[in-house]
Amino acid sequence: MTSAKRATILDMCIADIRSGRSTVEECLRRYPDHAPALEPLLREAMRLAALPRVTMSAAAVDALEGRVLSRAAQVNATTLRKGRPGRRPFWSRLAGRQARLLPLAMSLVIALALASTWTVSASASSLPGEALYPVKLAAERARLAVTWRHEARAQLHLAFAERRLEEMQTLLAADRAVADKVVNDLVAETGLALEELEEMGAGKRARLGAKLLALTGQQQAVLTLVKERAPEEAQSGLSRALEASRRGHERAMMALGVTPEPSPSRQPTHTPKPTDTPHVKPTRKSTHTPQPTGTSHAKPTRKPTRTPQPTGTSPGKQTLEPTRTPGPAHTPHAKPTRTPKPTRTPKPAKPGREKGK
Amino acid sequence: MDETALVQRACRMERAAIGALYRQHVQAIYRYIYYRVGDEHTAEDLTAEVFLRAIEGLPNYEPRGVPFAAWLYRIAQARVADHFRQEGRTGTVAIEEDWPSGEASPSIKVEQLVYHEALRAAVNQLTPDQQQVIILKFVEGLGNAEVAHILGKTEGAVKSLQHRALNTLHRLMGRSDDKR
Repeated sequence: MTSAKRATILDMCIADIRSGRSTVEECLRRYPDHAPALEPLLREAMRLAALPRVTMSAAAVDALEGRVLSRAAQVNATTLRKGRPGRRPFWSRLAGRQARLLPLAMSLVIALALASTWTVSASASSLPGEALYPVKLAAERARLAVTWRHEARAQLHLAFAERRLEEMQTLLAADRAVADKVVNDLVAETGLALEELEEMGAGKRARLGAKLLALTGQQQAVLTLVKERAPEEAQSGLSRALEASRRGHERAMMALGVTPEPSPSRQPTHTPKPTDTPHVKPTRKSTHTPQPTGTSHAKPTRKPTRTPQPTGTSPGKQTLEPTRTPGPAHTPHAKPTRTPKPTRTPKPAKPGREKGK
Repeated sequence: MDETALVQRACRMERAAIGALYRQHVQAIYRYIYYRVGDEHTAEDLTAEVFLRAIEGLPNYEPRGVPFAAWLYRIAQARVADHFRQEGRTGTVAIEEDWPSGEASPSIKVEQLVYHEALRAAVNQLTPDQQQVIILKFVEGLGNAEVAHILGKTEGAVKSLQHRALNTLHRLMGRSDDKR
């Protein structure tokens, strides 16, 4: 008899016994020639079927679901910036000869890549918006792709988050805009570093956890600065980033077994900024502006320099007006510059537009 | 909602779909891992790794007509193999003092525990395909067609794997069988 037939008889007997249609003994009687070989296997199968059906505790299931969903949110943020989600890699769409040529093509690509290692090293200091910046990000992804251990991955994510933070600081120092992408990357890398940290054994957490704590603390300061300078449309995204950073800080503390201090972190970010700025600018102008034509005011930056030119008439009186306008307190940049001069026509138009936002 | 639609939504990172898929498969994956590693906490950790890796792979996931569970089992198998590699052993495990939560009663006899432990260790000696057939059929209670679908094999191949697996288990369990 073939082994396939023996396998089929065994399977039929198992199915009959498990469904209650027959017993082990009945099966053995049905196949007397096979009974000696069949019996131990059937008994083994029945013992296997009697193994307890263990389950993961409800608390563990819930806790893991939270982690899964939070990882999903991070992956979503990352894939959105990388490109269309769910897109197949090109090599999986190749077939036949194309697929056979793939190794050759890959070797060529690798050779080119090796030849241009200088490009990668040169990209290390590039900033968002610069030509080599995508090379820098690609090199980071490549390093992650070949790193599996939690500790090493946590270190990489942490290092990349630190880079994003440095980039933001450099951009801020150069008075350049910080793109949303950089903020999103910073939050995502920090979150991934935390995920990996939480996967590590308690003993290994301490050093990395301390670094993450420092990073998340520094992040909040830098993000607050970015938020202060960002346009209205970027505010909500930055608020979310700040919130994520605060949560990250708390998670890092918990990973280290430190209980996070309850409220203080919340206060500074929510309200103070929008209210602070409108007060500061009007007071400066009222004292400085008597001679508006002189564009030499260095600190007030662009706003004062642009405004004098169109009107250029009676500066002294106009400078006092801005103090009345703090009403639309959310749009600090627009108010001080535009409101002062004409008072007649432009003003109604601008606040109206801002409120509309 | 059918699984294909759910998986498609999950690939677009829709929170509800991911949550539903997770709930649908988490216990089966946990059990699969538990019967391989024999320790509740390690099984929980590895189950977490499976789902977190799966989430990372979701944007590039392609069903190819294979159930989503098949993909999860493949990840689970790789994680378990990694775990044993890191531990420097091949799956022999210490007996837990407490039987894990679930249907099993805490008053289960020590003899039975020892037998279960030996059986689990023996299952670890099987080939990966045989292990999957045994766990999916006898722990999860799936039929041949479902197991074949998950493993991407024919029902005939599943029956053969089951036959060979039971033969090996009987050989490995021979001594404890005599005692019983």
